[in-house]
Amino acid sequence: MSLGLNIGLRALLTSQSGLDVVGQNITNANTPGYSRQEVGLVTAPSLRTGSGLVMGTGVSADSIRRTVDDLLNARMLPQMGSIGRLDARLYGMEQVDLFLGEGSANGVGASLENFFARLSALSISPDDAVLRSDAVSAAGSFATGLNEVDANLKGMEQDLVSRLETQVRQVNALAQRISSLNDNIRKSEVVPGEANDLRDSRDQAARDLAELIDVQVSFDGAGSMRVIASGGLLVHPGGFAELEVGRVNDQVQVSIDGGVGALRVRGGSVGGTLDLLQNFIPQFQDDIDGLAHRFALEVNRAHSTGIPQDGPFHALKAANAIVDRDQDGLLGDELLSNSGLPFEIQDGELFVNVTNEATGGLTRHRIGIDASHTTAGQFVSELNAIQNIAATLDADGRVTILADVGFGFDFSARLNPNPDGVGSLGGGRASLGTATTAPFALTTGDTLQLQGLAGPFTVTIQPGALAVDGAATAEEVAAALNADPNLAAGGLTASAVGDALVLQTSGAGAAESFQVLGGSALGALGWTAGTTVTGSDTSTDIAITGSYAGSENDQLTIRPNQDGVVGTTPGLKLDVFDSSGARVAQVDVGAGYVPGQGVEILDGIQIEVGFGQLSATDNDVMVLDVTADSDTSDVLPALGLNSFYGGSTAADLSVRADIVKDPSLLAASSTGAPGDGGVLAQLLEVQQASIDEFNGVSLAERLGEITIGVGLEISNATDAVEAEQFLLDGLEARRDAVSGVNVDEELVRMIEFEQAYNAASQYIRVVSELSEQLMTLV
Amino acid sequence: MNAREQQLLRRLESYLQLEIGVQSNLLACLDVQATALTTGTADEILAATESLGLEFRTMDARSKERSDILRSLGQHFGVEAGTLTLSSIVERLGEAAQGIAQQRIQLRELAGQVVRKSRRTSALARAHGQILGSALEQTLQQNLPDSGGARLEEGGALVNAEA
Repeated sequence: MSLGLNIGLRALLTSQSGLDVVGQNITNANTPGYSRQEVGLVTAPSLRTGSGLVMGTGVSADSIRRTVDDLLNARMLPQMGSIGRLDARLYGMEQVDLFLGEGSANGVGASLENFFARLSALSISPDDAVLRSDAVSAAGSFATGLNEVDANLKGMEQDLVSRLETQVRQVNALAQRISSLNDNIRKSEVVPGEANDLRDSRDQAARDLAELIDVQVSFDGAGSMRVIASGGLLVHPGGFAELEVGRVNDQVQVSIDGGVGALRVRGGSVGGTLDLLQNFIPQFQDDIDGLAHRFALEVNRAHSTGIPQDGPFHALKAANAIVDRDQDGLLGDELLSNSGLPFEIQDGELFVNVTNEATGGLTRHRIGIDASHTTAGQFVSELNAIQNIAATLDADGRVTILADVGFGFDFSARLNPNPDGVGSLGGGRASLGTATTAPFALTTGDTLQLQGLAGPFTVTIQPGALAVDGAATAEEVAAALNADPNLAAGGLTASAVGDALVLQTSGAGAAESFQVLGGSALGALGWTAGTTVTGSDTSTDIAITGSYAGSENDQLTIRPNQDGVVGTTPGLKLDVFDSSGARVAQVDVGAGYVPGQGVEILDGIQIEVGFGQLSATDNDVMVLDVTADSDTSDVLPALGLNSFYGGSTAADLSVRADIVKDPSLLAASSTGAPGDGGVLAQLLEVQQASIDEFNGVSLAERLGEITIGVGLEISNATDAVEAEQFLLDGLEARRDAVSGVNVDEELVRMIEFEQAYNAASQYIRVVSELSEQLMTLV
Repeated sequence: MNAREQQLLRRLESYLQLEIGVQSNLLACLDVQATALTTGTADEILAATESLGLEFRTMDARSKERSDILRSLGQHFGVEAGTLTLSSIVERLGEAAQGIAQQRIQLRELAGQVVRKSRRTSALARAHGQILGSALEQTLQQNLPDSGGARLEEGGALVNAEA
């Protein structure tokens, strides 16, 4: 009887265990990570009675098992990591999209458009003070917009580092929790059976971890979870390691205790945040800095060769400083191309115009820049070699240029209105030019025997006058001849006109003359002994007007095709040669030409030839520099001479403070003439100009690319999140099917049981009653 | 023993043999039922219950046969049928009823086991039913989101209907 009662009691207790599990399932139906549990029932061990009979002892609950698909759980971890990473990236990209303010009237794109719109308005009336102020203000707004984008990016970077540190702390906390759960599970499972709730908690911790960082999970023989995070052993049966955030070469990294180098985190929100910090933000920063840099360069290129409203400069100080890169305490020896300037300097040339403010006379000077050889000191020396200006390199590394009193200077591409300064084309002085051009095959000691009004004399090329014997330049020969006092004493002077040498009397008029007698230099210069040259009472005035529309810098050489009188001699023409010697134009100034009338030479340049005599016999010659770009080396924007913008990145771009204060300093003119807005036209071209650095797109298009690029990344990331979430939903649905609790199902199961028990109870009661009736018979 | 007595004796032996078989079957069914109650699914419990029910198919016929035999024996012995037991019948019939005596012992043992087992199993089923009913009521009270503290009968109709 007691055995029977025990069986009943055990069955009852077993049944109660099952119901406890049902209750546990229902209670945890909404607990994240909870796995449905089931009671494992086994037959209770049999007992051998004293009489040798083996009697069953009923049923007992052997175990309470979790219904878990470990493979499914493992598959979910990388999926959760992918979503965590994409979510984190999306967060950052959406922030950046807001910074750009695309579509907003105050956005960077709108500011850029407004700047060019203000420039366009100003180009119609370049001297209008209000329009100048508007343009400068719009330029400042664009710069401020980029400054704000940069500041926001840096602020966001700091926020992301804080987020990363928080995420890493969460990783460490979860690693500690998993390690602790490993210990507790081991202790709990010393006795048979699984610590289901602890295992559920550990699985949930692993899933939480997977949302933070890419993890791989495995188990050792004792059931301890081993977690490898981004290739580093984070949790092991003996404990756990901690992650930490650090910086290497200014790059934020995550490393693990005891690990070598940084972890290559690819998943989870840590991976997404790191991706933002290591890739997306630096790339976006590069893009926006690249845009700011190119924008500043293009605008400054145009502006630095312009002329302010008040005319040429009297003093100019560079905004950017030469840096003592070799740290030898000297600034002058620094190569211009490697002296810490914000813009690259290339091989090229710089034209400097010096204006005599009293006469309006202009001299143009070319400074060649060899990027790999020209030093800051050489550049300053070249400037100092120009008459009427002086340049210094300050101790702070800035170049300062000062004009002599009564003179001004500029770097514009304007044409020299009076290029025949020495009067070698129809001038009043007796003048003999060379038919050939340099280099001349002259050597030290070569002589030239001449006869002036005061009698014969000889000039000699002195040692050191020529850089290369046998290949003398026109400037060297002119300087060498002028250096011999006999030349001046004989009333003559030598000049270089382009690559030609011109020998002239000091005075003008028909009474002036000189004769070439001989000397060893005659052959090299192409002159013939016995040649006599006479001056003229009528000096032919040459004037140049218009502006050069060509695309290349060049030096045009102009010579008459024959001797003759302007406007009178039939067939008298001016031949125009480019620097290669090719004749590129011919202007008829003979019979029928009205002296002083403007005639186009080429590309927008007009020449006005006054009445007078031109001589092909005496090799009359004039050169005209035509300049498409007066600074092909970019030395002006690099040094910050007459720049419009200061700075060269999104962080420091700003309109020059003195221009903001006085918009008349905006160098809108390319000629200095009132109402001229040549530089404004160049600035407007910047908006749409194709830029190689940007793969042929313009600045405006490049900004659009950056903006659209961020938008596309957001769109792609959003799509990816949706796709990954769809996959995760599918995995979670499968997991729920395996491990989840359906409350309705559990309740239905309970009700079915209840009904079955009641039915059984009633039937058995009938059996019992009938059998009791039978007992009355027996 | 006359022919009438022999005929009644044969009928009684047949009936008792049938009853012994039924009690044996009931005993086996109760074992299955007890196992189903403790370890089986609801379907298994119901299947075991149905097996018990199968034994009830012959219940009326057996009851009538038993009443007929006892009434005939009562008339034959001149006593009230309700006062007859197997022991008194064996005593009246003497040596010829020794088979009945053996069957009586066997039937008594089986019926006793059936009574004990059915009481225990019935109690087990009732206990399970009560525990489950109590658990179900508590569960439904906790899980009906808008029950507002309503009683099970008020909130559980739909669940019961689904079940």
